[in-house]
Amino acid sequence: MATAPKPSGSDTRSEDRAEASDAVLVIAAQAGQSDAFTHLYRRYVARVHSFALRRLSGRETAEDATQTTFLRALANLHSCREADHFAGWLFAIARNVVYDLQRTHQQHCGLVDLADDLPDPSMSPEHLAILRDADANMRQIWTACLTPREQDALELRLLGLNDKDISIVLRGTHGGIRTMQYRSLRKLHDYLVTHHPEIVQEMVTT
Amino acid sequence: MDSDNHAEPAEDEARHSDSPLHMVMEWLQDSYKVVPPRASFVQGLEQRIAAEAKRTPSYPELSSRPRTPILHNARPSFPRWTFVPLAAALLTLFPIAPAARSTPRRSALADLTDQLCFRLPTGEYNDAGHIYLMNSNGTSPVRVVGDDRLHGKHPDWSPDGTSLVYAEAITGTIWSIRLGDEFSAKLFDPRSFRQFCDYPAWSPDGKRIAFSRYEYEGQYDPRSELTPTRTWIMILDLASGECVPVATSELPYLIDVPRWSPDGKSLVVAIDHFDDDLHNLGSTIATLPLDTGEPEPLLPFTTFAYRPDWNPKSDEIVYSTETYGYTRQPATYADRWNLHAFDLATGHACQLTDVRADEYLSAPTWSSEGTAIYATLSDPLGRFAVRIDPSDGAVTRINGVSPQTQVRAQPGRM
Repeated sequence: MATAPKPSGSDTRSEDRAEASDAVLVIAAQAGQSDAFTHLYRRYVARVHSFALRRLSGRETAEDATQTTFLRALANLHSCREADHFAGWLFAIARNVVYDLQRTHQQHCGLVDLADDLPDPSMSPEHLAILRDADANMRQIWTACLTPREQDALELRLLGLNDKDISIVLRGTHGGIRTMQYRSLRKLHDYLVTHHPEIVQEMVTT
Repeated sequence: MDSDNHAEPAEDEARHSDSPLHMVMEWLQDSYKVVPPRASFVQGLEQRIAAEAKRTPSYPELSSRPRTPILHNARPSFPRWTFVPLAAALLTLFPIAPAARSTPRRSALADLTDQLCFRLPTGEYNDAGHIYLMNSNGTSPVRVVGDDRLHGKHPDWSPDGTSLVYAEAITGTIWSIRLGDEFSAKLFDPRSFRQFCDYPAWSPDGKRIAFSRYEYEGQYDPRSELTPTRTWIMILDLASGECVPVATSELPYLIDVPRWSPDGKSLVVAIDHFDDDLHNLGSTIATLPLDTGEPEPLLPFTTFAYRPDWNPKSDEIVYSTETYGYTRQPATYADRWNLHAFDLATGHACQLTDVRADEYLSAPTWSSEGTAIYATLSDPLGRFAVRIDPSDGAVTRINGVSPQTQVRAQPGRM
């Protein structure tokens, strides 16, 4: 684990906080500097929400999951032992919160319509439609050929987590996660070649 | 690269911008969209978090937190990742000779009563960790094996409660240590880079050690998730040093994790069934009479039963299950691990616990009187030593400290 710098004083400027590493912010938050966790929240709220939204039907439920995740993380921050792997620890909580909600609401992982949830409301309807189609198309494809665990690993990677963080979320080893990601990409490639050659062709030409 | 069986990380291929997998990854990155919540929600939750954070008491800095006391003489410290391969090589070339029994170094060890041994993972990788003792109420943890080179795991008590036998995670060797001694004694070394030993179990008469011996296709690497191709259940006679296999298995069925029956005439073992891709199709537990060496499964493989332990006072076997299997594909989100007990007298199994879906109970062990069960409870916040009342399934965390795994109660004390 990388040695995390000692938390700075309470007059630390907000800009410094925004650029600080996760480890610095976690240790500062553990030391009682309340604004540090706010910066961690800002850094991860969109990604946690995105992770939840694709596994729960409806924006409200995804927001419930996001809120529960961050409040649970704040309450238990002292138990985050690997400060530089905060992302893995946070998404482990998020994953469990999502599964609890799935069980409570009898929901299952499936495709959600992101029509109301895409990022920028000022986008043109055409651009919005393209983005929505691309996202839905991709998720249909990986649902068809990847196991839920492989989907989780790949999505966490797309959300910016490294292999070590993903191994914390999925309770696997670093090497095992790397191997699984390789196999997932291989399976996706083979599936695309067989079922969606037009996408492969587009990849090659672009 | 051309074979699915070739476990090459994605990054290596992704470095080549024209590789097919690199293109797939780029396509995913282009297609995947992070969807933030509504701005009003983000602001509202941020205000709540800011308020909660101010109410949350300050935590001591990591460096000032109370640390688990380590009762051994200080040794030069090495960066672990530098040291571990070196230690493995040196231990292979120059095995540590069994040390003469020395006098206890710390009176604290001798003063402890009602003890539990457990393993404290140190986090570098799955098998790194050290063996500790603590009182049954979770107080006064002390480290047993002071040698940093020995990463002990799966400790088991001698029947008189004065010694521990354990597996060493890096070299796959079996060791024992008497409480209060400074040095461990090596009991068995597979002397092969492809083999590894684990799960030692001390016989009720104190004269034998049963353990699992594994063989891999390539070099054993404690940091990997390799599945062995062959296993043996071994019995080591402590008086003569003779070590013989009593059962052997090859893929697709592998047996391991032996535990003794109270009369010392049988073992209970776990059997895993794998498919060609080494996914776990099922797991069961089986009795293994030493006179026949033929395992007799007690449950269907679909039970996904793991880690059996025989009640020292009765014919009851406790084991853990995962509802849908440890590595079954596709995995499901409803996985949960609970404890069950199989009564050899009636042939019936019953579920002992009912934990939440994000909790995992594993590695159950009976107390020496057979009246309580100890296990490891994993949840999103860590891994905790717990005590379970088999009469009602109540799960009690021993001291709420994480990580603590592989808990086992001292014979004659609990």
